[in-house]
Amino acid sequence: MTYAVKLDVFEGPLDLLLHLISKERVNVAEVCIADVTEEYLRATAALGEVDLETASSFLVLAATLLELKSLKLLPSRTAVDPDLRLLLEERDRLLHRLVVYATFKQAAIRLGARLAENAGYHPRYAELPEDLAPSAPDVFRSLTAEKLARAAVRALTPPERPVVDTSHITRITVSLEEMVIRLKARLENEKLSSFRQLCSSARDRVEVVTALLAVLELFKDHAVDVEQESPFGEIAVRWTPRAHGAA
Amino acid sequence: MESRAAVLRHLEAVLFIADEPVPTADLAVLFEMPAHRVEELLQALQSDLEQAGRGIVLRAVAGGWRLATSPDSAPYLERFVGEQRHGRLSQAALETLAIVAYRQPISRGQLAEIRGVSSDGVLRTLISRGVVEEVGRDAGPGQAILYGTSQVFLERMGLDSLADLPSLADFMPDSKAVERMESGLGPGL
Repeated sequence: MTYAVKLDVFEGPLDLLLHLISKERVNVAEVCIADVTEEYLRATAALGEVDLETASSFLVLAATLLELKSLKLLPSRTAVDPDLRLLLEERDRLLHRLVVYATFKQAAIRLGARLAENAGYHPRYAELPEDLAPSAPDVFRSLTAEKLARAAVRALTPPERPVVDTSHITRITVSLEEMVIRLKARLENEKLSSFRQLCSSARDRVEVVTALLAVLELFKDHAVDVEQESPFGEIAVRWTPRAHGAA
Repeated sequence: MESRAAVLRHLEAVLFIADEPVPTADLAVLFEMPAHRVEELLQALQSDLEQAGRGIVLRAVAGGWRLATSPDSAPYLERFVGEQRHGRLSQAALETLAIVAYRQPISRGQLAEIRGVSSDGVLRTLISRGVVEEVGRDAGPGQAILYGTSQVFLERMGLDSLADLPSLADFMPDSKAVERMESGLGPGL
């Protein structure tokens, strides 16, 4: 795996190119195509499966280099050749990128040195102590013994039942069950009555409604028969105990 | 009005508790005195600590003042926390950091263009170390995330502000080197 070891030195195709040109003082155009290609293919092979993007960036540059190299091999080409001009433009672009890259590579070395120089200074990154942290203001600052005592009294007093205002709700003075029992007793005694009479003792509209529901309940149980001869007329309620017993 | 010695003491206490560099202006407001006066006191505190050979130093970094341990105590601190200081940044990370530092705000695409290779991995490393952070979105299509250096970067670099970075021109290859690159790329016209 000598390739991989060697490749670790290079941080990308530009780095490799810079190395080829500057360090070894090699004219890429002078180098055998095979050498250049091999160098790049090595780089690519070592990266290949790991990082497709890096690998392709190596290949793109290799292709450009090979094209540049071909300039040398085709001396018949002239400056007016549009392909040639394009290639020369590409060469200028590449040179520009190399210069920019070389600049940052150098800057990186300086940055690294500066980071190393400053690595020995350790500031505290700890958070503020809890009592000083802005999110936790000192809640005890305004506390007095008296306030604490009052709070204790409040805490130890059994809580009052929350009062819900029910004044708008009509109170149910008698339940349906009670009404059923009450009417049953009356009807057992009177055998026949009218709804108006049954409601005569009702204190409010709700009790009338409850009475009506109770009558319907009794009717459902076949304890009574209900008869009304005309709309809004008297409702006769008749006790029918035999059916009631069966229910 | 507190005495000079008292203010120096309070200043030290405030800086002790601060968890990031404190700008001079903030301290001026806190102590109700002109900034230049606070600055003078801070420098006095700085040189007091230095001359006394203390294990704590006062640094003017990242736009503020912050107490830090003295570098020569570093080996003991590392042993104390039982851990080797995490390794140096790789060359790739340093290159990426340099490009972000000088070209911020910068997108990942622009980074890759300069380095000739994707920098996503190293960028993540730099972000996780807190020296690089997202600083915005490109207004152009795609709204690429833009990256820049953080306050932690300045502090780690011992820089007061980005303006204190050495000029990029200092790192440009000289004309000879450029010529060599040019001829290295093959014949011109």
